[in-house]
Amino acid sequence: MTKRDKFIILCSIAIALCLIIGIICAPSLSQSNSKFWLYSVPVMVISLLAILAVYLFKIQKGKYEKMLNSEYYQKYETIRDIVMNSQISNDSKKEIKDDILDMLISAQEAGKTADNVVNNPVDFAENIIKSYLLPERIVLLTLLDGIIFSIIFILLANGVLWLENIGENFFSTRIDVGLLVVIFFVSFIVIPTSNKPKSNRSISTYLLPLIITIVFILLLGIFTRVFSSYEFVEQLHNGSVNMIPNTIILVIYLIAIPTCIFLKAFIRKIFR
Amino acid sequence: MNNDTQIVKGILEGCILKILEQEETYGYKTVEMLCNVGFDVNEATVYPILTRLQNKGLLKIDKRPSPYGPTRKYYSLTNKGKKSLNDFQDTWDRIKNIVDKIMEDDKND
Repeated sequence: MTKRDKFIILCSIAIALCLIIGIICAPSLSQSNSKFWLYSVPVMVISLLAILAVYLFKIQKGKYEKMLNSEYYQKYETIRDIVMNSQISNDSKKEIKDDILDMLISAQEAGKTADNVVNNPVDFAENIIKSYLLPERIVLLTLLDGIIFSIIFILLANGVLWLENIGENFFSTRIDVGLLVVIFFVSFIVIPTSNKPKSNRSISTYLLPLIITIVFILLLGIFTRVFSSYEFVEQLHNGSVNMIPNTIILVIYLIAIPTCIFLKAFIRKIFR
Repeated sequence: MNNDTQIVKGILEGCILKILEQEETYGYKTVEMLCNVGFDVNEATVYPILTRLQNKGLLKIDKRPSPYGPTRKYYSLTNKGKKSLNDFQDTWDRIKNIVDKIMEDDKND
């Protein structure tokens, strides 16, 4: 198991434990025995299954990946992770994965060292991505991803807030402006940053998106406290917005997601 | 030789097209063929060129299983690729003559 694998599995265990502890300690659930089992058991099962899913889809080596020795596998893993997180289409990603595997296995069988074959795996992966998509297209695709993520987050946040007050009208649910700022920040800054190729693959680089988000939320908190006398800042601190005021807006959101996905496919195919 | 310079990349593209015109082959073998004629290249240099040529429609691919297991892509030229190779050949001949002339003049001086 490589350093990256250990880190990923530890993170998934930590998140699952946090969820399980959170649900056990939730005051509203611990008071009612029937409610506790109704909510906590599914959460616990899903949390544990999530660890298994992470292992199966992110850690477990494929049939041919097992053929690579550790030196080659580390190079392969870096290239695969960068390509998989890129804006290339899923079909092309699979094709690249097979090509790289075949190339590396052939080189390994020929007795070449991994460094002779791929000196810098990050540069190699970036060159592959460039051969599929121009950098300007990548920016456009990332922007469309940001739109998709923010719509999904808004729909989820609205849904969760509505579930908290289930008797109320869905279309009267309001989202805090602060939460909205965080949603846009995560969609357009944090997710693209975390998907960017990293030449330094230490644990700190994996934690960077989380650190950026925490620092952003802290700065936002300090900013709203210091400048609370301004109306705009007051709105940011205590204001709320009705993001889904009626059925038409909801339909627009729901249509926007497949439209963005279609646009992404179109950009990949036509404007290479 | 610095393989990252645009001139070497362009020349490599032309040479890869020529190799694939002569013989349908796969990525690793292409690297070996280039190394055998004197290029100091590795898989990391050649593979992105192959994918770029493929995406430009200059190469067609045929997928077959490799002896080691994973699917292997065999590359050959499309008609567009053949035309591109001819263009490269013309440009190369012209530039080679010009450069040779300049180099000869330099020696004569």
